[in-house]
Formats: sequence, structure tokens, C-alpha cells
Amino acid sequence: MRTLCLVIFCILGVSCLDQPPCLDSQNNRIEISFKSIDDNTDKTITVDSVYVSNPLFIVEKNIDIAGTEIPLYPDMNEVLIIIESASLQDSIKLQYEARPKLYSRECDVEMIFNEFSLEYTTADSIRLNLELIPPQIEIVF
Amino acid sequence: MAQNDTVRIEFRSIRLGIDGFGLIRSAVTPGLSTIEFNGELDMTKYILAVDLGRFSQEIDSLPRYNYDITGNYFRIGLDANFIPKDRDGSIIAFGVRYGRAGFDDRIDYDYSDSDLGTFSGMTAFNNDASASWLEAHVGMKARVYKGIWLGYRASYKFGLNIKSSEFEPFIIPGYGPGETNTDSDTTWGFNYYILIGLGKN
Repeated sequence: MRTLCLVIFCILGVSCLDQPPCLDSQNNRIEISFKSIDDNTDKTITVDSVYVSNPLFIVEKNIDIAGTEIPLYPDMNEVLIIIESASLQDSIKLQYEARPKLYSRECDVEMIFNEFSLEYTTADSIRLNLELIPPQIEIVF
Repeated sequence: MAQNDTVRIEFRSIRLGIDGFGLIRSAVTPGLSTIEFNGELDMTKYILAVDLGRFSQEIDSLPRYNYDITGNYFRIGLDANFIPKDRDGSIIAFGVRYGRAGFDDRIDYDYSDSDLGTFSGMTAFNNDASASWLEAHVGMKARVYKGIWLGYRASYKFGLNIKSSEFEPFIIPGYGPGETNTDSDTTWGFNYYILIGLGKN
């Protein structure tokens, strides 16, 4: 018994645990898409601008798009998204939590954005899937 | 059953020990300081066990991040000895533990976003964070010389419950990796310890 104990002791002594791989959480964006109210298909519009306010970041400008991705500030807990086009003048304000996350000591720190909630919007019809990764907003018109 | 085959639950010894694995890790890992004391009340078939530990570590990976954690923990539980009649007094045991840790941790980091740029000097910290968990383990102890035991145990740790404020801790003292840096909510741990027995042995 004493010998068995010492042998297993040595075997376990040379074992090691692997570090998990670095992960890209893919949740540092909000996806916005435009949908047709008639058949719920993607709707391409010409936007004058899509931007985030305070601090200002212009996401899209003078382009035909059916959707876009909004980056999230890691040092804020809310985002005001403003969409300006000939057919659409809307703003959407969301609240969220941003927390750093370290997967492995070999990885960079990632930010986890969650606990999204709608504070207000001027859009007439909007569908929110804020539990998805990334969160999705559909503007229907 | 013959009378000499029965094993009564009776006091056999008290053992006090220290986790050698933690001492070795502290010696070879920069920034790590951990020490764990073990106490056992050997009642022949069953062993009441308590572990007390202190853990601190600084992981300096600047300029990407610097992570710093300090905390204390304990485990308490019961082992069942499968060979209570071993003539050397050796032990093969299955046991369960309840573990609990209290700690403070802090991370200083830079964060880069492909669109928004780099955010430097970001900080998050947890003051008075806590965690609890359960362990099931198998272990062996062999009396190598008179009242001195050498032992180890492999523990399956699960049921981790963390209470933190600003971010999920990377390390839980006494448990191992926080649940944020593994794909599952469980982990494995190893302890190698040297115990000194007091009593009948």
C-alpha cells in the first residue's frame, strides 16, 4: 500500500492542467437590421448617417444598407443610436452592463456586454432580441 | 462476521499537515503565494477534515493586464476510509467537502476595439467577494515514518457560486479557476500533503 501510494503520488506530480483557449465572445456589437412591414424581408435603405452619441462615433454615412453593427463603449453603460435617412429618423437608447473577462492568462481581457434593456426609442415598430449574442434590433417600417 | 473483522468507529489520531503542492507552486510561480493547513480527526472508518488556506497572486501581463487577488478559504468535510484495518495505518478514502472563500481582486487592463480604438487604464475590482463550492475526492495517505503521513487527493469541484460586484474573478482561492475561464462550471484539483499524527496513530 505504501509503495502504491508513492507511485501514484509521483504520477500525479507530473500531470498538468491545460489553459483554455482564448475566446472571442463576439458580443461587443449590437446588430441593427431594417425589415419591410409588408413581408418582414430585409429592407435596404439609403442612410445619411448612423451614429452613436456621447461620445460621437459615426458608424455609417451616405450608404445603402439593410443593417449595421453598433460598437459598444466598454467604459459606458448606455448607448444612444441615431439613424438618419430620408425614410427613417429614429433614435434608440439602450442600457447595458460592461464587465471585463479574463479567459486565460495568455489572453487579452475581453469585455462582456449584457443586461441590455431598452430605455426609449422613437421608432414606431421595433423588435428586440437583446438576449441573443450579439443582441439584435429590427426596425420594421 | 467474526469479531476481529469488525471495525469500530473510534478515535485513532489527530493529524495536522500542510499542502506541499501549494508550497511548491509558490516557490516556482512568480507572484504566487499560497499556503494551506490541514487538520484531520481520524475515527478509523471516518475522518473529519478541515482545510484552512491563504492565497494571493499577482499575474503581471502588462501592458495587456495586471490581475491581483488576495483571499482566505476553508473546506470542511468527511472522508470514508476504505481500508480502516490496514496494518500500516494507510488510508484510501472517498470524501466530500464544502468550501468557502472570501477575497478581494482587481484587474487593470487595456481594451481594444477595432472601431472605437484602445481604452487604456481601465480598472475593475471586487471588494469582499465570496465563493462557495462542493468537492468530491479520492485520496490516499501512507504512513511513511512513525507519525508522518504522505498523502494526496484528487478533487472534483463543482457547484461553484460566486458573489462579486464588478467582474467575475479569474481565480477563486481554494477552488481554482473562476467559472469565466473554463468551458464548464467544474474543475479538478490536486493536493499533496505532509501530515504529522498525534495520538494513538
